[in-house]
Amino acid sequence: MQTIVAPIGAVGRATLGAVSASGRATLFLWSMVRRVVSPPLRLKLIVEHMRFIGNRSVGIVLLTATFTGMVLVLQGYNALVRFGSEVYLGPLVALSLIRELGPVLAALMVAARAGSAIAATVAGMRVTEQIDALEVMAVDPVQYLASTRLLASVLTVPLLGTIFNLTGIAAAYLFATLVLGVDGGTFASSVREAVQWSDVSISLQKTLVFAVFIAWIACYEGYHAQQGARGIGQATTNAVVIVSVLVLAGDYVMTAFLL
Amino acid sequence: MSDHSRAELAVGAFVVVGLAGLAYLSVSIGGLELFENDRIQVGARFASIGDLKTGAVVKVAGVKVGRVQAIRLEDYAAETKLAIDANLVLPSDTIASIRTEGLLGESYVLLRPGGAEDNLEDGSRIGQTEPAIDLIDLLVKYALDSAEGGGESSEGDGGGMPDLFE
Repeated sequence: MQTIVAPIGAVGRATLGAVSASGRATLFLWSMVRRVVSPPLRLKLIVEHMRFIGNRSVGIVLLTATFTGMVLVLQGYNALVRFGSEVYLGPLVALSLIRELGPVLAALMVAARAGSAIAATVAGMRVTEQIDALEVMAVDPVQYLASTRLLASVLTVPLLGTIFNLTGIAAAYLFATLVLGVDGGTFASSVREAVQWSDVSISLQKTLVFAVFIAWIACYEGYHAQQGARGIGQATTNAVVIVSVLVLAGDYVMTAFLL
Repeated sequence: MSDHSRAELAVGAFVVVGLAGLAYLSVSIGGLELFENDRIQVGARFASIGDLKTGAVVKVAGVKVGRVQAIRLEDYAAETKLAIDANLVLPSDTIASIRTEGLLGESYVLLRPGGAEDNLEDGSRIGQTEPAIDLIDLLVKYALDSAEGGGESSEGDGGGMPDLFE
């Protein structure tokens, strides 16, 4: 009897734990959002965060976008040349990037770089009791640490997504024309014909949602980190993993609704 | 320059470059129309529209001049509303046909101007339309014709077809 009851109990406990964790996290998100507009506005801090999340991620975005664009051309050309349809290479690459790969990969790169750093920083502050010190000084730690990063993320990640898209298409164009001998004029004009504002708009909406995920989970995990160096490491790992899963799952949901 | 002013400059440059890139992506590549050209709306009814969708392109001599705004079923025919650049002067006996890009591509509406004296205005109708050409229908028709033409059919099933229709 016990051997049947115990595992079922464990499943129940795990489910309840997951549900209450999501609830806590959502309430944290709400408190982050609410405090974005409450004074003091902390513009200096927001600018610093924007520099950290935005400017410092440009390098990695340029790098990954270049390789993504080139590999799309390589695979696409291989597949299309058998049907004499290389003329569809431009739209294939551009639409894949703008609709899916740009927003998702840019978000994953930012999550890996900035998200992990944010989680580690906030977790470090929690573990060294600096967050408690903020409370003692009557500084709202959620507003000071999390809301500012949320705003910075929302303002920079969509722009990073755009830079990813443009760099990917440019790298694809150069690779296709210089290495594979594809006609540049056809590539460029077929891209212009195929890409609609609705595609760019979808790309923006996705990056906005992903930006919220990154700031939210990174701050939540850091804020609720367990004690010690282990806690900091755990918070950082959790942040990156959970954000990545959310980005991919959210991408599916948004695509289902928007496409 | 203080540390913070450098940060402000860096972030400002990032935002400006990002927004400029977004504008280029939206307007130049994505075709976002910031200043709407004046359009006139014209109605056209087709027996069959094939794969035509709302938002499909309307062309004259291969050049885009407008879009399909709406498609509705009326009396078992497709009633469409076409939005065409107001600058364009089209005679009232213009013919509208549904064509496809290449053999299997997207459907679009082709307008061939006639020679009438009065022109299409906002709200007028295109009288003459040609429906979409269905490739499968053509193939079946060809198969039937060549089967009835007597003797051998090159298709394996060709022998079965005349039995149905004789």
